Parts: sequence; structure tokens; C-alpha cells
Amino acid sequence: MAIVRGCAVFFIDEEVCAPGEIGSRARNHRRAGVFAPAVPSGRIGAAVDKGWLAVLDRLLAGDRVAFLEVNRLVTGFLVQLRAYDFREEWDDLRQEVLLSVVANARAGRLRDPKAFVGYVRIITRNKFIDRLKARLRHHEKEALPWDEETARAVAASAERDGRAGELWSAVRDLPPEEQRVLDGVYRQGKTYEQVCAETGLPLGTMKRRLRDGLVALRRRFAEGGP
Amino acid sequence: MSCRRAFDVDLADFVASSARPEWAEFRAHYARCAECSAEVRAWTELHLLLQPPAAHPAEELLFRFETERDRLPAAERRAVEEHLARCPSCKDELAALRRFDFASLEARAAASPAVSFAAFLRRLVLHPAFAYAIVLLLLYPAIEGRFPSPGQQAAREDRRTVADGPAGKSAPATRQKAAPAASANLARSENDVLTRARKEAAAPALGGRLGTGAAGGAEPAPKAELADEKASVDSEAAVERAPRDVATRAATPEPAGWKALALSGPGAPVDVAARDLGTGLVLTLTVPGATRAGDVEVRVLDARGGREMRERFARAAERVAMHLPAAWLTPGTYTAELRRLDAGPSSAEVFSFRVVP
Repeated sequence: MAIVRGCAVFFIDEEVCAPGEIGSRARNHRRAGVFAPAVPSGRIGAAVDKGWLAVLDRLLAGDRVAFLEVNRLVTGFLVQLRAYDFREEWDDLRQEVLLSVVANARAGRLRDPKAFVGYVRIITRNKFIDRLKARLRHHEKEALPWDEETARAVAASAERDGRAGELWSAVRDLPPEEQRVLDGVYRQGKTYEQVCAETGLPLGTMKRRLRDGLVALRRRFAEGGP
Repeated sequence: MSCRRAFDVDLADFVASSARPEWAEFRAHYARCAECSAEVRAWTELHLLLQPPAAHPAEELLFRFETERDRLPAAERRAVEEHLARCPSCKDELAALRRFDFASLEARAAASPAVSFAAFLRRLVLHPAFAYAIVLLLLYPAIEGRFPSPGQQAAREDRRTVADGPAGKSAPATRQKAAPAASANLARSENDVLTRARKEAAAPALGGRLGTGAAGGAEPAPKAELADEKASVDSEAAVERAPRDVATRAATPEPAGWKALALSGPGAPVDVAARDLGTGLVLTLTVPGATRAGDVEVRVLDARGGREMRERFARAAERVAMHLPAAWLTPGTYTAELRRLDAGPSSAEVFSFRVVP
């Protein structure tokens, strides 16, 4: 399965990664681990239950806070789609997605509150892929692999929302050392130094266990896991 | 031949920090490669699933930080500043807010052809042609009496016999009875529309107006119009409650024909349709707690500059109401500054509204 290379790349200075890390999670320390996550999926999961049609009403009335709320939802999807790998596309893309949402709302096509999040997810993907194809000068007739993968991701993400618990159950099957490292880095959001200090593991060993744990989870994931 | 690059690189590192320069080549590669795309997607999903929900400032707090930073409590302001310093997502969302072309949003709003049934009914009832039609309807018996057909004449003769009334009085009698009934009908219609708008406007506060509309199969009314109706409903009482400075107001206009608009605080401009203005606009502003009981001045400015109206209110209470003639309110954006006069220099509360064609 996946062959993961050595540990040296696992540790970087915040100054190096910060400018481009659009989705990265805020950390309280100067140095950040490479696993500083993108905008968390939990953000989208929590957003599903929001009264989006009321937010949409406010947005249509020009409410800036409502703009920020929808914008945050779009951010979550852009992160899922890895749109931040194509950073220069974001500014116009956001505006395009927002205007499309507004136009469809005005046309009365967004009346089902339960469908709103799914709609924004799909419209964000479509707009992103259109831009990506134009950027890569990709012909419409040719299949763009990332287009197909994002379509799968969008189709599967609704099912996956709220299934992080199952993944963490799978973590419990890992060796205890790997569990501790994964828990510290991901669940508790600690820096590598903090995890090392708590576990007493040397940095290289800690990173190797983190990597091994992730590879094992990925393997389970590929086998139809969570 | 299948690509092995996704298996040779450290994807756990890539999904977490792909923006780093050393990943530029793989970033340019994977979108075009089926094998690498599939691996990147799987690792991304794993990565996102493992992440805990992060604590970000609420959108409202971010907005206040952006627009009225100095008014935020120092601790709250510092916390947001610290968060923004280390959270690129929030920083980017704020940047998007600054960059977003809200004018394009408004342009689309103006071009939107969607009209709700309630709005359609309201326009129909308030249209002058509707009043003419009612007048014609009421006058119909008289016209009929003046130009009777043989059949109508015969029928009328029959009615006369039954009623045993004098000839020539039946038409006016019918009109006298019909007039108040039609008037009541008209009032009911207006009332129905207002009641409907009230119901629809009250629902957003509960977060479910459109949902209710969807469930019932009704077309949702455009927000601006509902906001107007709600403001109208809210301000009907407010206009009456608002104290008026008789020294500065020459005359109190009749409430009929005046559009009411209540603004409770600074925020996005509230739209008022020019066609709804009638005689003018009664602009009701909520007076901030610290300013109440003092003398205040309201200054309404055309955003394009050059035109302004001022009015002073002595011993301002909870709200003040200012009358703006329709002729003065050409389509455009207006700001209303409410400032206390008797307490030295003070910052103004700025409200805004927009007259749309």
C-alpha cells in the first residue's frame, strides 16, 4: 500500500507554511506541525443543521454577517476540494459561488432548507472544476481525474458527515503508542513538541508513529472503512 | 502505465501542508493523474475526518471586528486579533468580505423578476386602476338604470313590484348600500395582504419563513418587500410613540399615504420601493440608550452628496420619527445620522436605507 518516506519532512517552521495554508487550523504556538489541519470537516457537519434559508434571506437583503456565514460554508467545501492547491483561483471563485447561490435563491430554487448545504457543496465544486479546467487548459471532452475524484468526494461527503466517530473507533485498534500520538496531534490539536514532551518520545520516533498510524487508517479506509 | 508518485511521496505530509513550495510539482501533477488524484482524495478525506471542530470567532464577531473594532471590548478585540494572526481561514474570509462586490448583488436584486403572490396582490389592490374598477362597479347600477335594456327594464319592473318602492330610487338605493360594503371589502383586502405580509415577515425571526412557504407550496416573498412590511408593522406604533418636536415641525402630515420605515441600528441598507412611498417616508430611528432624554438631531444625507435634510428632536425618547417627502427621495442610498446635541461632540449613530426604483 502506501509507502511513506522519512520523517524529516514532517516538521516545518510556521513561517514557511503560513502564507499558503489557507485551511490550516490556528495553533497557539510559534511552531506548527504539518498536520495543522485545513478548515475542519466538523465545521461543515455543524453547519448542516443551521437555519440556512433565514441566513439566505439576510444575505439577499445585503446582510454582511450572512455573507460571512455562507462564505464560511463555502470555505469548508473549498478545503474539501483542495481548492487551496490552486490558491490564485479563490478570490473570483468565492464571488462566483456566492453570486450563483444568490441568483438561484432569488429565482426561488433554494426553498428546501435541507438541500441548501448540498446545493452549495455542488455549486462550489462545479465552479471550482470549471476554473481548474480553464487553468489547466483542459479540453471539455477529456476527463480530468481530479474532476472525477471531487465528484466522488461530493457524493460521499454527505454520507461521511458525522462519521468521524467511526474513524476514531478504528484508531482504538492501533497500537497504544500510535493512538496517543494521533490523539495528541489531531484530537487535542497539540504541536509535535507538546506531544513529544507528554509522551517522552524523541521527535523522530513520534513522527514515525504518527505516520504509521495514518497509513494503517488509510489502509482501512481504502478497504471500505469508515 | 500507472503512476506510482502518490505512493512514493509522503501524502500525509502533502494533505496537511500542500502549499509549501516543495510540493509545487506534485500539486501541478495530481489533478491530471488518475492514480494520484484517487490517493490524494482518500488521504484528504482521512485528514479531514480526523480533525476536531476548530474554534473560530462567530461570524458576527468577525464582522464587528471589521466594521467597529474600536467599539469591541478590549479583551474581545485582542482575542480576535490573536486568532486572526494565526488563522489563515478567518483572515481569508474577512478579506473576501472586503473584496466582495456587493454592488453586483444589488444589481442582480434589481434585475430579479421574481414577484411573490403577496406582493402581486398588494400591488394589484393598491393600483389606481383597481380603485377605478371598484368605482365603475359601484356606478354600474346607475349606468344600467340610465341605459336599460328591455330585459333589464322588465326585471327592474319586477323588483319594483316586489319592493314596492318608487321608480327611479332603486339605483341610488343600491349604490348607497353597496358603497360601504365595497369599501369594507377593500379594507379587508388590504388587511389580508398586510396580515399575510406580517405572517411572512415574522417567520424569518423564527428562522423558518421560507421553509413554511416551501411546505405550503407558497411562493416566498422577496425579502426586501417583507422587510418593508415588517418595518411598516413595527413602526406603525413607533411612529405614534415617537415624540415630536413641535417647534421644528411645521405640521404633522396625515399618516395616510406615508410609508413607514423603522431602523433599529446600523447595518446593511434597508430597501424601500419608490412606488410604495406615496406622500413620503416616515423614518423611525431607535435612539441609543445613552442619548435618550436629550436633544438629538437627525441628518439624512443622499449618499451621492449634495442633498441633506435635518430635523431636531427635543427630549428624545426611545424613537424619533422624521418625515421625508417622496419628491425629495429620489432612488439611491441614504444615510441617517442620529447625533446628540446637548452633550458636546459625540459620535453619530448611522443608519442607512435605499430607495429602489
